[in-house]
Order: sequence, then C-alpha cells, then structure tokens
Amino acid sequence: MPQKEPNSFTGFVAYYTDGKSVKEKENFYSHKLEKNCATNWCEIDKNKLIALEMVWNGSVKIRIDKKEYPHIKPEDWFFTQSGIYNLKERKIRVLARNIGYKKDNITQVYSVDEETGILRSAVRGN
Amino acid sequence: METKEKKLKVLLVADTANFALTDVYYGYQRAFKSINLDFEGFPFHKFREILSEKICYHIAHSTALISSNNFTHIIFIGGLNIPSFIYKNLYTVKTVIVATEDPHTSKPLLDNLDSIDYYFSNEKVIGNNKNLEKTYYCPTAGCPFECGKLPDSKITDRYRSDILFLGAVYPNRVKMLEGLIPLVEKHKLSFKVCGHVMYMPKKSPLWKYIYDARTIPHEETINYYNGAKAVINIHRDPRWNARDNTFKNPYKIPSKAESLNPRAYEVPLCQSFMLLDDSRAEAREIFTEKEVGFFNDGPSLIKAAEYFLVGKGKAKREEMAFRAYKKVSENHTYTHRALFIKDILEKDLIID
Repeated sequence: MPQKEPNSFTGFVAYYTDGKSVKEKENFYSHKLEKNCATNWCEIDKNKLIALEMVWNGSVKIRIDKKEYPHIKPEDWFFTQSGIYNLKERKIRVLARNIGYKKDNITQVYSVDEETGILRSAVRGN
Repeated sequence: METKEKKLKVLLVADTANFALTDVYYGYQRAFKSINLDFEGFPFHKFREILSEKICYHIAHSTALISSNNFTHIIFIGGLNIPSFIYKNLYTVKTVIVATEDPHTSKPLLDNLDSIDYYFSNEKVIGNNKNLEKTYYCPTAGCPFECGKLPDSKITDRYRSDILFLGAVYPNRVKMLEGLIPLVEKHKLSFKVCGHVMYMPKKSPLWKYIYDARTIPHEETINYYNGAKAVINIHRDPRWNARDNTFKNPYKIPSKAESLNPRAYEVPLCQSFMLLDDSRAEAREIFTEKEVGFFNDGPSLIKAAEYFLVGKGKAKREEMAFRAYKKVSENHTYTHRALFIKDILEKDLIID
C-alpha cells in the first residue's frame, strides 16, 4: 500500500488562542473517552479555537479565522466529513471534508473533495 | 383574544419562459429545501411543453386554492407574464412576486400591485420605494449547489478560452465586444462569444468570434465559466427594447437600472475571474476592485482585459476570483435571499 508523503496531510487544522494547533486525525484512540473513535473531533476544544484551516494534500484550501469573522462564538464552529461507511471493512471512506461557521440562522460550509481537492461551498438554514 | 400561528407553506411557480428565470426558480427551489421551508414546486416551463399556457395558469391557480394543500403563499418567479385574474382571485392565499427584471419591465407588474401582497424587486428604486408599501429590495443571487469549480480534467477544449462573453449578444454588448478584437488579434488570444445572436448586425466583425450561437443551457455555462481565464459581464442597456430592437422603450423608465444580473454571482461561484461592467450601481456596492476587474465603456474594457490577460494583473486573477467567490458564497446565494423572504412572510402569519 503506498505511504503518504509527510507533507501530504489532508484534514483540518484547529488553531488555538494559546498558539497551539491540533490536526484532524482518523481512527483515533481517545484517552478522554477511553475508546476508539473515528476521528479526534472530541478532543477539539471549540472554546479555544481562533481559526480552522482545511488542508488537502499539504495545501491550504480555505482558512476561517476569527480575525475575519469576529462574530464566531465557540458553538458556531462547524466541522464534519461526508463519506460512505464500508460495512464489510468497517471503515469510512471520506468523500469530502467540511468546515464552516454559523451566523444569523445560516451555516456557511466549505467542502473539500477528497479525491480532487476542489473547494465548494454550501449554505444551509439552521 | 387568542392568536394562533399558521404554518408557512409555499407554492413556488416558475416563470413561463424557459431561460434565465428558470435558473432563478431552481435556485430558490434548492434554497427552500436548504432552509427547510415547506413548499411545492410548480415548474411552469416544463408543463408548458405539454400543455397550453392558459391551462398551466389554471392548474397553478387551482393548485394554490385547494384547501387540503394548505398553501399560505404562492410565489411567482418573474411573474411578468402572469395574467392579472390570478392575482385578483387568490382569496386567502397571499401573492408574492420575486422579480428579476430591469425597471422598465417592472411597470406592468407594478400596475397590478393592488392585487399583489409582496413584491420583491432586485431594483433598489422599486424595492426601497417609500411610496410603494408592499415592495422589498431583494437583489439577484447565485446558487452554490448549481455553480461551482470543476476539476481541470473535466473541462474539455470546447469550453476553454482566454476571454469569454456568455449571454444574449445585445447591441450595446456587440459594440463593446467589437472593441476587443484588435487586442485579441495582437496577442492571439482565444476569444469566445456564446449566446443568441438575433440582434447582431450582419456585417459585425464579431461574427468571427461567435463560438456557440444559442441560449446556452445552465450546465454548460458552468463549463464555459470554469474554462475561461476572464469572463466579461456586460449588462443590458435598459433604454433598449428587445421587442422591436429600438431605443423607444414603451415604459418610461423611472430611473437608471441599478441591479446586477445573476451572472455576476454565478461567475464568482465558479471561482472564475470576472470583468464586470460597473454601469449598474450594485456592481461597486457588492464587489470591490480586490475581487473583480471593473470597466464602464469600450476603452476601459480593453484596458482591463489587457491588464488582466497580458499585463501585470495576470498574477492577481486567481486571488481576486477567490475573494469574489467567498464574498458571494457568504452573502449572495439564494439561501440568503430565501431566508430574507421567509422572515417577511412569516411575520404576517399570526392570525386572530
């Protein structure tokens, strides 16, 4: 199986107020929950978030920064994945990764296609 | 006195014509779904393929009035061709127009205003007019579900160009586009003009660059926008009358047109670079020079095209297009407009 290059990270990076950052991980063992998790999202502290950055194969596709969106409150941050669950292999195949924020009854979502790296946007009512 | 709240339910009716307004209809349809607004669609243009226009009107009218359907509102996209008997006979169902027209074409609709409950106009002069009580300003928009960036591998040579103009080739557009020919020839640029040509003068030198002479289907416009290095957006001259190809407009225009066309939002949603005619006030109210290249006449179009295609502006295109994309995605989609409309309609739903 081909190994990923060190700079080919794909996923979001959460930046914190204290200057630290956390990269999105899959198949993660959470010490907090004491169980295996599909992602490390439960470890992301939204209260400390100042920016979310979506990276695809090492290149930054979109950054949502509180400097640009000062209205974002901890509960307004949004990150999900769209994918298919392979029942046989018991694995999730990610189709797109999404980050965004909520504002005025709207969730603004930016999605990066896992295969092509194409950035798309969507707007949803809350 | 007890008050109870009625639940908003909309019958969304497309315009009779199967052209740009159809895209607006589909844009609102997707938007209503995305905000969970209870609605049913009435794709008039589809029914019209098998039924007469008159029958379609009657079906729309009776569908709205069947009480078990529980419609509270009927929304017409465009609405210019709807006979006034429908507006006048909707009883408890409120009539809503979402107009995407120039000021002079709004005139017949404004004459029916006493029978229309809500009139959303893309023209500020109408929407914000204090003398017209039921009008609201609601600019046109783009649909992020329909418009977007395509992988480069999916764009064939057919859709690639250096400069693209897509739209009906109206007289004011012919004049401006003809001015680009020397620049195009000097730098051997690929220049494609796509759209219907019924108003093109027979001897125009622009014929050489007419690449696709028809009303381009929406799916293909996305391919063309994605394949272009710069998309030119020239607004129609509202003084000109398409019906008789003269400058004698039957409706004395109340003011200068200010609104942008849907293309102004669709091109940025494809993350494509746009050269935008700023003769409409909304152009500079919505976009900045950091997002699009502006021009206002033939010479300034040539200057802008030269700067962004062969000059120093070449390196700025991608960044500018991305800024415009973010601007439109976050502020000017049909979902944003649908929420605005929903809020206004829901305010009046509390009944005694």
